[in-house]
Amino acid sequence: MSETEHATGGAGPEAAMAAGPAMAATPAADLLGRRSPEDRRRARRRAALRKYGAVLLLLSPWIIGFVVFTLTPMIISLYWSFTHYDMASTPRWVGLDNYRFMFGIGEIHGIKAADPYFWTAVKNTLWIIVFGVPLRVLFAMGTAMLLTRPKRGTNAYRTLFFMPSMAPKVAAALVFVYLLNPTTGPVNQLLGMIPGIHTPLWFYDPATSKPSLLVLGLWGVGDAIVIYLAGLLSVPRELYEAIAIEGANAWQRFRNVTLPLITPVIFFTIVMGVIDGFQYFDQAYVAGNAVSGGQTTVLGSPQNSLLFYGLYLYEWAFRNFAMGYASAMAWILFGATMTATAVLLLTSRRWVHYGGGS
Amino acid sequence: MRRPLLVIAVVAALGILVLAAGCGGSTSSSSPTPAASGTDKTPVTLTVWHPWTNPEKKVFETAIQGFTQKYPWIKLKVVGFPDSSTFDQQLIKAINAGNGPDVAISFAPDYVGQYAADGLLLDLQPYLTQDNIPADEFAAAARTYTSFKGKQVVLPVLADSYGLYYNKDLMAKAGITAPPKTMSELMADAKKLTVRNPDGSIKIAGFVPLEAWEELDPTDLARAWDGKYFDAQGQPQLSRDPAWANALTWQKQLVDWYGYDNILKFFSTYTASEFDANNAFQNGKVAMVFDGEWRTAFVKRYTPKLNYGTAPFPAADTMPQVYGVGRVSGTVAGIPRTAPHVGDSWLLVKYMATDTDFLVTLANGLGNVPTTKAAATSPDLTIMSPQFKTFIDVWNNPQSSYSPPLTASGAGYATLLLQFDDKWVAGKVPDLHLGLQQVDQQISNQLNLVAP
Amino acid sequence: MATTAASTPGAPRPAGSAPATGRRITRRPTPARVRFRRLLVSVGNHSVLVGVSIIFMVPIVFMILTALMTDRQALSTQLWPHPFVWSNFITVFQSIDLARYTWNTFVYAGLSTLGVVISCVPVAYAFSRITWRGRNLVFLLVLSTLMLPNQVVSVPLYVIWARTFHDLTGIQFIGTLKPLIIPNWFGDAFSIFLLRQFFMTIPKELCDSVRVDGGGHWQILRRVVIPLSKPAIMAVALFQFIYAWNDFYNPLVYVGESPTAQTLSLALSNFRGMHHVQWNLTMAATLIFMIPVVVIFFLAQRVFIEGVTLTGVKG
Repeated sequence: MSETEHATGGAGPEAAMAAGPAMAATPAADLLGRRSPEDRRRARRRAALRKYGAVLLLLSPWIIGFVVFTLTPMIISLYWSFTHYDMASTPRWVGLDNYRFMFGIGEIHGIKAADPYFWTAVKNTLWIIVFGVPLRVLFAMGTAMLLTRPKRGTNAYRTLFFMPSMAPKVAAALVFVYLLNPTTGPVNQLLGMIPGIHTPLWFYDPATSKPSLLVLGLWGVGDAIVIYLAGLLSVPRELYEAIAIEGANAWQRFRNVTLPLITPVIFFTIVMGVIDGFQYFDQAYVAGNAVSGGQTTVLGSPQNSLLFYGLYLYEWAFRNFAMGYASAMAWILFGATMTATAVLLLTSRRWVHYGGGS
Repeated sequence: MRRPLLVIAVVAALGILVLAAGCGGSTSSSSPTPAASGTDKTPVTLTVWHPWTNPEKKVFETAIQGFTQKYPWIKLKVVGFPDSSTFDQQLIKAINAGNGPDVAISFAPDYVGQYAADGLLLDLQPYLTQDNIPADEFAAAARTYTSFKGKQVVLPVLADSYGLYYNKDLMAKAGITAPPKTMSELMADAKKLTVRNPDGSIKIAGFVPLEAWEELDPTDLARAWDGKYFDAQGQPQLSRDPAWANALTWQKQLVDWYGYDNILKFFSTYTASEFDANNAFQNGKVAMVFDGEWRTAFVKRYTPKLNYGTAPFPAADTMPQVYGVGRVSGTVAGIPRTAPHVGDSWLLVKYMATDTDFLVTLANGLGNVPTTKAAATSPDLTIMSPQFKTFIDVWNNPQSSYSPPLTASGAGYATLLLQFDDKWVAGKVPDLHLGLQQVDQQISNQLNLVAP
Repeated sequence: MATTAASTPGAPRPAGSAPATGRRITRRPTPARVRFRRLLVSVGNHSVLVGVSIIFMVPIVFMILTALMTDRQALSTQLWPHPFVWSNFITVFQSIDLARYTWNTFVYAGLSTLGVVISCVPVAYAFSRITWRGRNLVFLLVLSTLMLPNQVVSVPLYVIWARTFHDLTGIQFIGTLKPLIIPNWFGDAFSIFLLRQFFMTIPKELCDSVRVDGGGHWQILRRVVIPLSKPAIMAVALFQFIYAWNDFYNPLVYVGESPTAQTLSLALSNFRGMHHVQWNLTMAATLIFMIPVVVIFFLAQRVFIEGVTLTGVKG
């Protein structure tokens, strides 16, 4: 299907067929059915035009969508990041002021200007990525490995694990705020019955609020479990047999057979986890709201421990109406996401084995 | 062949960019002439946005029927917003998108400054003048939060004032005969009234000093020392006005006495119930609380047998002259600049702000303070009670003020102090003065950044 | 991807195997020790799995219990409803306009799913069944949009909907579901990726046979690709439906101010913001919110997991 057209130099009928339904009007052939080089070139170009025309047509929905809904907003937001814009009046050009404010460089009106909670938001976001992603990988992989053993009932378990991950993040957050309420929630009530345990304040204590989000996140790990299960089951049995003959124990089996062959799966879940982590929003919005004592103007309660980057950006854009500054924050987020993904991709060559199955 | 693709893309993007950027910020013309008052009586439907939730929502909907009777050609589509604390932001976003209502009612004047500076709501002064409504129609305190830099963008529709509620039974049990008048007395009483469980946790709290607790705000504490947010030049002075340091120190002392973890745990148990039947004060779990006048209506509805009293919030020991001053606020109504039928919208706003029957019905149902003299002196008012009188007095006190002060950028800056206070009471701020200086700086920065 | 009855990785193989000759195979009976050990391991496995399952189900159980409590009891420390207030599920529909919000969410999820399927199939086809110069580069571009944070585009996009499109067409977009639905009719990177992976596995000969009969791309799509790709298309549709159903951020931005056009996830969040917070009703509303998702999952489990596998394992 590939380069036949180019490679063969276009034996007439083949080229016409590969290009599409409407047969090209073939120029006159000589008695042997051959055509001159020019004619061949013209036929080739027509075929190519037809092919690219078809491709353009088929791709047109995405192209239009990309230009209108992605590219244009991106360019506009880049422009805004250099302005002060509150949506009520026209954007006012301020050059690098927004970026200076973000990183605490320079002054505005003679006062040293720095966004007080920018680094808090960055730190919180990095925290949830650094702790949340490995936890998710380990838990999903471990549970999936358990699921490879039994011969019966795996369907039922699989369903049970997968179902909570399909719950809306808002609902899940609300449930856990309720479950982890320090006094009325069942978790602390049960924990309180065990002597000697100091029941934490979960979402209400800045030291335990992010770990509470991790607990919430573990509830939704079911979709990763399914992926790992599929990956584990696709490891060829022969490899296990081969290594068993050499007398390997469980750990060696895991390290030398299982682990290398599921590295693509691990890589995939890490990359998706990091990308999602940068945009963490729903759960923090709901949980911080619940804890703030009814004043939803303060996001990220308690004490900004749940102030994630996405949440903070939302506050600047839709609470303070500083659209210019919010755009600057958005572009920094984009840069960070791309950098992280690039780093992951580049380092993946060293440890990811694309065995490609059989 | 890929080239044409790219060319098309870039051209399209630039084209849309030009369109989009050029469309930014269509400031509408100044307020239409007063001649556009609804004189043509053509049938029209007005959309009204408000943030009341049940049961208060039903009270409003019943009371507003008087308007439809008086102006039968106007139908009302009343839309309730469940989340009142983001109401203003949502309204601003909607008006900017051309999507606003005909009349908007907001619980708090936080953003009146922004409405005025950005021209999001119409200046109503021309209409007031045209309809001969005198300047003193509304109580003096109301005018401090309904206009900004000369633009009267909203009218008050009932008001709120704040003071101290105290549980008489619990006080009697602790041997306290009168409510505290000074901050030292408040602290001492709070300690006496607190009852602890055997394990040290709080069973009944005397007074919860956390800023996230119900209506309390650091500004209310600072008001006891006559604290002012901004100086004469409009610069924040939290670090220069000693009232703030005094207030925050007082606050932390009480928090430390409770034990931060204990009071936090107590907070987490009851914070969700501020506005329902399980309210901590109504159920005798908190002995004294800073709250608004509507609490009297809530008590009547949920726990009518509660033996309670009200008094102005205490003043600093060194400033007895401040006693009787309190925070005031109020529901406000205005007309978005995008409203198509300004004349009819004005009739509704005028009705809600000045019609005595409506105000009295609403006040009786909501338990709010009437904003016009006629309504306040009406014989049909049923809300008057010994407890309610405190709030009328606070309302009439000329020193009572609205906080946070109005700015052209709305009230977003006030969050900075709240965030600081949360850290302060948790013991995370080693140097209070330095911390307050930083907050001052942050507020200045934010106001500069957000200024159009 | 059904769990095969394959031998479990790591378990010792029984002795005896197929010989090269035609002798009859006799198996040595597995010694009791080995059998007992295997039973123990199996019981151990199951116990752990049951334990983990219970932990996973606990939040749902509590949701149901709380949804059946009275208002006061939901806020207390009691864990078991006394009495069982089944009527809560009806009260929820009366407290907020749950019926309308449910309808809105169905409209958003349904129409956006339709749009995704219709628009992504041709695009994925072009990336998989036709070879053209620059194909890989453009596909990379498509994939890179997956890494684009929502926030980079959401603010200007909001203004574009509010101003530009409004001025160009005179239609009011903000406060309606249109800005949520329309972009999905122009392709979605994740769905394109999924479909493309699947299309790549279709045998060339089938497509070529349509060519020989004189058919072009549309014929190939209609007669070969689409019929063969039903599982993948179903998976894409399901993913999109559930994504839209659960979507919180986009509705927050576009219909946050319209009490009539809101979707369920927004309504749920507003429930929490209301003054008159009632945990029991909130839980009941949450359960109602989750029901369609759970039902869909039960009905289409296999397709779901097949679809998930297609993306995850190939990486």
